[in-house]
This record gives sequence, C-alpha cells and structure tokens, in this order.
Amino acid sequence: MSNLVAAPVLLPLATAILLFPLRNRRRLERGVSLLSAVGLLLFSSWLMLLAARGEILVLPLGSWSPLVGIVWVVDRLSAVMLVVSGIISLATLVYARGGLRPERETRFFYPLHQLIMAGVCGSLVTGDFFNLFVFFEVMLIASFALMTLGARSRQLHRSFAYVLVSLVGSLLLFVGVGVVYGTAGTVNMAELSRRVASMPLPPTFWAAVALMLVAFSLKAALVPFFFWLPDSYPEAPLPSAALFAGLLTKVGVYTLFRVVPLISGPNPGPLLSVLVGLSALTMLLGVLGALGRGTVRGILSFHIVSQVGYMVFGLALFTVTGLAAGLFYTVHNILAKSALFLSGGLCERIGESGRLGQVRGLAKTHPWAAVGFFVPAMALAGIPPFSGFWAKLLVIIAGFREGAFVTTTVAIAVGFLTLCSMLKIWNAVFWGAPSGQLHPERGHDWRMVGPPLSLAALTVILGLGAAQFFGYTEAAASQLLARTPYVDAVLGSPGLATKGPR
Amino acid sequence: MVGQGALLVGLLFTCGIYLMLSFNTQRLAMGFLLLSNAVNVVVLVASGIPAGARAPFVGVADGPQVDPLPHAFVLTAIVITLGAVALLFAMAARARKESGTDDLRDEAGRE
Repeated sequence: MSNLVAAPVLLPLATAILLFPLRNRRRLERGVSLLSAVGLLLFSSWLMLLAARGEILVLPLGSWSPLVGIVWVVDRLSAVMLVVSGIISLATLVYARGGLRPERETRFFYPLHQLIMAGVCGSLVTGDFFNLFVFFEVMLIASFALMTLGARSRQLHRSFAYVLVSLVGSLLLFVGVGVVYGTAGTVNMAELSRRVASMPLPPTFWAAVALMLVAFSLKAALVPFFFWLPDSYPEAPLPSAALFAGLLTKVGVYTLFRVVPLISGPNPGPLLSVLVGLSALTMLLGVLGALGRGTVRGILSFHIVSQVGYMVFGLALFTVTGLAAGLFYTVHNILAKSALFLSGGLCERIGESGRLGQVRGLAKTHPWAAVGFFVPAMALAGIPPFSGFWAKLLVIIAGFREGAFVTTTVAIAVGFLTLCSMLKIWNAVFWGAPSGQLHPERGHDWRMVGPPLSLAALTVILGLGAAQFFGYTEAAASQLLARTPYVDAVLGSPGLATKGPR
Repeated sequence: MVGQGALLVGLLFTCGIYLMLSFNTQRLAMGFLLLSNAVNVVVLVASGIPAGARAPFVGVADGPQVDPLPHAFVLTAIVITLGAVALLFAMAARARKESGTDDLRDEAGRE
C-alpha cells in the first residue's frame, strides 16, 4: 500500500515526459494532461482517505535505510495538501484552453504544468531535506519557464528578479542542508527530530537551521522576504498565475508547518515569538501594498502576501488549535485565491487589460463570471458563511487564547482592509454601466467560467462543512505536534539501533 | 584543508555578490554561477574532510575515509545549477533580443 505514496509524484512526471513529443497535437496533448490531472486528484483523495484514519504511509525508495536513503511520507498534513494541489491543477488545466494567448503561450504549457505539479507533490511527500531541495528546484525551474512563456520584454525583465531571488533562496537552503548534514550527521527529517530532542547540537547546526528557515520563508513570501512576488506574479500567463498564486507560496508555508514542529528543539519560544511578529507585519504590509495597486492581478498578488501572514500566525501559536486553524486557513486560501486569479484573469481577457476602470459593468453582462469573483472575494475577506469566515475566526480564537493580542488585533483589522480592496476591484470591474468589453464572448466560455465557479462552490462547501473539516485539521495538527507518530513511522520504534553522529 | 576552503569560499562569495549588485542581466547570471560554486565548496568543507582521508573505494587500505554523501549532494547541486545558469543566460539573451538592452533598469523606467 505504501507504494501509493509515489503515485502523485510519478504520475505528473511521466505525463510531462509523454507530453513533450505530443506538443504539436493539441487535442491529444490537452486530453492526456486532463486525464493525468484527474488521476492525480483520485490518487491524492485515496491517500487522504487512508491518512484520515491516522495511518502514516512511508515509502523508503530503493529500500535503503531512511538514514542514508530517501523516504517519502504521507500523513494527514501532506495528504490534504496533495488533494488541494490536485484540485487546483485540474481547475487551471480546464481554464488553460481559453486563458492562454494562443500564439505564443500554448507551446510547452502542458508539459511544464505537469513538471511543476511533480515538483509540488514531491515537496509535499518527501521526508528528507536534500530531496526537498531537489523538488523545490524542479518546481522552481518549471515555474521560471511558465512565467516567461510568451517572452514579452516587460515579462522577461520583471521575472528576472523572481528567478534570481528564488535561485539564491535555493542556494541558502542547500547551504543549510549541507551544514546540517556536517553537524548533525543526517538530513532525514525524522532522524533529525530525534537527534535534536536527545542530544546537544553545536551552534553551527542552529545557524544552518536558520538558513533553511530563511529559505522557506522566502518561498512562502513572509515579510521581509516578500518583495519578489507582487511584481512578478501578474506577468505570468493567466492559468499559471492562478497555479502559482494557489500553490507555490503555500508549498513554502507547508514546509514551515512540517519543519518547525519537527526540529524546533526543546526550546522553541524565541523562534515562535519572531514568527508571531513577522506574521503580523506580513498581514499588514501585504494588505497595505494591495490598496496601492491599480491592476486586478496586482492587488490580488499583494493579497497572497497578506494571507500568508495568517497561516504562519497559526503555526507560530504552536498549539493544536493554532496549527489546525493555520492549516484550515491554508486550504481555504488556496481555493479562494486561485478562484480569484482565474475570474480576475477572465475580466482581463474580456477587456484585454488588467487596469482597474478599463473594463466595466461585468455584473450585468456576465453574471456567472461575477459570481465566480464575488464568492471567493467574500470568502477571502472573511464574510460568513464562506470558508474564509471560519478560517479567520479560528485563527483569531486561537490567537486570543494564546494571549497574542497585538497580532490578533492586526489580523482583525487586516480583514476589514481586505474587504476594502476586494470592493475596490468589484466596484471598478463589475459595477456600473458596461464599457470597455473588447471581447465579451470570451466571458461566456464555460471552460473559463466553470473553474472559478467550481472553486467558489468548494469554498462554500468548506464553509458549510467547517466543523467536519476542522476536525480533520485538528487531527493533523495534533499529529504534527506529537512528533513521535511521524518519527516512529519513518524510523521504526525507538528500540531499534540508531547510529549517533559521526 | 578547512582554512583553504574557507578562503576560497570567501573569494567566490565576494566576487559573486559584487557581480549580483549589478543591473546587467549577464553579470547577474555570472554572479549566480560564482555564488553557487561558493555554496558547493561550503557543503564539501562543512561535511568535514579528515586529514589524510582516502576516497571511499571498496578494498582500499583502512584509515579514515571521506564521507561520500556530501559529494553526492554537491554533484546533484552542480547539475541543477548548470540548468539554472543555462536558463538565466537564455532569459538574458531573449530579453536583449526583445528590448535591445541588458539593463534591467531601462525597462522599469519605461513603464
């Protein structure tokens, strides 16, 4: 059964290789990639069903000992992230037919999309830091190519900063991993967790861990490492921008959720208070930046930063409720944010421009597109009964319970500012008399309206079934905080021989 | 060994960061190349190179042996950075073709 763990990584990888020779046969290419995305979703859901029962599936690749070889692990946290990744992948692929500008952007889109999914799923299942670095690179290099598809001059210039910052971030991660190996003698997450708990490690080790955390925060776009995001994301082709917005920063958030409980050591207090402060700044700077932007995707990109603050805040509280709330928030945000990028992109395709005020009055002419924007926008702002309301409420309850009053107050205030900037887009694009609609027919293409609507429906379902889903994230959070189930599942129970550091 | 390694790392980092302070796309790519090599040396040195250690071949006389795993790490990283640097140069070349300049500030000013 544990071989199933490999499916979410190998399936997109194999599909990508298969798609390269098919790139001149468009229909076949689209068919194969859609089929593969459905398969990915099915495999992930199966894994989640197994993980929901509390099983931790472990696959040591090549049957090497986990101390020297690579292990892939799926627990509750990985499983739920795999399922949402599958959903977003499918939604953006359906959208891609109408969302890509045909002449320049369609070539290589499908294989690159599959490669990025292989990287994302790999990062979600791996239990080994070096392997995590490799999957980050797979994900990043595919994302560089996707971001520059079309190769317009401004796009290349704007993406250059993103590419360099990401690459340097990966170098930091690699240094961290190398020095961790040099000082602690292993890069396996579970074994490292055991060694951190049982023996004193030199200061060099903690410096290396700090470097790795910086690299993860950079991927997650936490303040002060968020500056690369708001300029580069709006430049990507529409379906890719929605994929990046939903998944890439959240993979960074996921690694923080995975790594911080495992290796924060016996005294995590100082690290957590730093994270609480940073998350408040992230929420605030992100939302303020968004208020100053004048394009649809520009505003939405800054909101990615702001929302990451809430997730990391949940993590930094370091209680079961806090982590569960943060995880709930992450899942809600992936769905809502991708839906917003997809429907915002739809407006951009109708008006051929993302500037606010260019295209107007879509609520009258394209009611379904308007619903596809309105529902996730309200979910993002935290209006009941959508998922965002519960997500914010849970984070705020957890925050007050832990006595993090300042950050929790910031979280509430930022919610109002989020509503303001969502209304800014709504007023400019959907309200008023229709004008500037250069290609109104594009807004009636079901392949472009359907995906944001389905994601919006999911945020409603998540909002209505919040109690059940929170039960799941609570179980995931207690699994993370307990550590031992994960460590024992990977390494076997503690009685077995474990070698010390060299 | 560790001292020499540290000096080499310092030199590579200095040159790499100097180049990366530029706005020229080609210099940025070269700077990244140097930084990545600096990082590779850090990983090799940090994993500890015992004095007089041998390569870990089967059947070689006893005595301290070098740990092979960091070498595998670095080898993988070299392959990945090769790809990344190639991509950076391709982007630089394409940006020059599209806009006629290597300078990132030009495009920003034209907005």
